[in-house]
Amino acid sequence: MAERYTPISKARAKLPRLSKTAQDRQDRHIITQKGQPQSVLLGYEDYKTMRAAVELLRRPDVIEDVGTGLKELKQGKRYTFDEARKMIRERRAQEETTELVEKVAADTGLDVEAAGSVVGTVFEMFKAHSGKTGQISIPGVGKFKFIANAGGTAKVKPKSKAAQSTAIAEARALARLLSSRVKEF
Amino acid sequence: MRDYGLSPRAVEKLADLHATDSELDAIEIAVAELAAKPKSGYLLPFQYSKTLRRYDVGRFALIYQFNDKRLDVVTVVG
Repeated sequence: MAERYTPISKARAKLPRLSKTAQDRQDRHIITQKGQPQSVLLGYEDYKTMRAAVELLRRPDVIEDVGTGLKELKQGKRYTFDEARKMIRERRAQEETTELVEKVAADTGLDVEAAGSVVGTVFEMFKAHSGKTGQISIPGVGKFKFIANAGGTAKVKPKSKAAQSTAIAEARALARLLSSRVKEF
Repeated sequence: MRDYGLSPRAVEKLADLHATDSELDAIEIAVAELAAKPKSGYLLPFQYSKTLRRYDVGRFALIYQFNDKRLDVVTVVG
């Protein structure tokens, strides 16, 4: 890799050779006019590398991430792709559950803690009794009849009739999500 | 063939960027190929490492480093 100054008059005549050395040897040819630098001829890969570097260097968060990642690797902290997949799925499931709890809380008027309890308990029931029928009792919320079938649908019926239709609709949405989640276990 | 893997930060970034299962599969295939031929992609002139490179897979830019024995994804940029 060398940096060479070439007057534009000579560059015009030698362009194919300059281009080849820029590509093969990563030479950078600074084209001058009347003795002053005017432009630079560099290899395409060299140009792409510089662009990639500049793009990343503009982002302080990336610089920080690179530093952190290198430090972790130096300390021997690394994961296989299988471990990474598992961790990412767990986090995705956690985020989806949080969204679901917030939606159930907003739609039913339950506080987030109670909605979390409903979602958590139904999820556990699905894991334990997938394909079976069960009864769920959630303190502060009530008793729910739990019916699951092979198609992955379910009904959760609260004893209070007033809340029944909302609960069934929620339970169906919940069941769809949970049944897909249960397959991961 | 070098062994390959990811730093915890790289895994965290993939989760932040909501990488799907099929995207993770594509990234693993690319990383396995890089482990066999690590000089693909663009060299990044960071002062920390002379073997830090960038390789793009779909919407992700993988920042990786390698030596004779292994190749690791340092971080991921969306």
